[in-house]
Amino acid sequence: MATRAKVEIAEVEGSHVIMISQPQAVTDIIMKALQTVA
Amino acid sequence: MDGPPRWRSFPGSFRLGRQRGQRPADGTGWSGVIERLQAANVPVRAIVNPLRGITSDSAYVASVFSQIPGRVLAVGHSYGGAIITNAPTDAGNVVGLVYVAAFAPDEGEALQDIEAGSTDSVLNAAIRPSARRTIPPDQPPRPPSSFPSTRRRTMTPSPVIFRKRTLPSRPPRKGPSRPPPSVGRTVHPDGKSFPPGQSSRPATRRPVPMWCFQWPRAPRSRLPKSRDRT
Repeated sequence: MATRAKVEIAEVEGSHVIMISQPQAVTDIIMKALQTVA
Repeated sequence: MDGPPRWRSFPGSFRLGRQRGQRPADGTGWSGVIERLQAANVPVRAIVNPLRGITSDSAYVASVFSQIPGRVLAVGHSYGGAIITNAPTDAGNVVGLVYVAAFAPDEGEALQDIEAGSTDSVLNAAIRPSARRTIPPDQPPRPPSSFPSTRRRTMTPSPVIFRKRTLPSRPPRKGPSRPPPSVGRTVHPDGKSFPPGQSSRPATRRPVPMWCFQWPRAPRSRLPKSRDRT
């Protein structure tokens, strides 16, 4: 799905609820997205 | 950062193994992310996901988006990915999408079909018939089931299998192995582990920039050779 949608991909080890197990990694990509659309 | 923040992020959470009638996803799973974003002066809202179906959930989330002044960066987790795919159509202020281990359905796709065709999902392989609960006979007819009527028992993720495949980094616990509450819900034998509906909009060719947080990666030794990326 990510490939066909041609999105920028980040990958990290963790559980499906990755925002709980890796909140900093998820925050980082959200901040990156914010900076891009700003 | 001084002055009013310009950007708002709207995580949409999702509870695994939910069924219709279960309580909606309240977004508390985003607490760690929200704290960090707020520390960076990013205004954030966690939208409660009703989990009633893609069409109605998207309409609800779009209504929240449209009531927010300024531009919106929509963030969706799991099923929430289908919602942020569709909601921007009705809300004109969404400028970006972030999929966090989320579905990015194409137009007309149902999430059950994506899940069924995925070689990366560990949920289907871990589901076993529950010995304790059965579906009441007076329940309304459901879509065709791959299970015979005599076996219409509720399905429960096998705690051992599910935990091994989804929580490899989780430290071992003493006592009987149980799935965490968020993944221990029963799943309907029809495979109705997702709210119903199809995506009316494709995640591809979106007019807004998108970012995808890849489906979390398990240790290599526990992965099948062929993986379908979400």
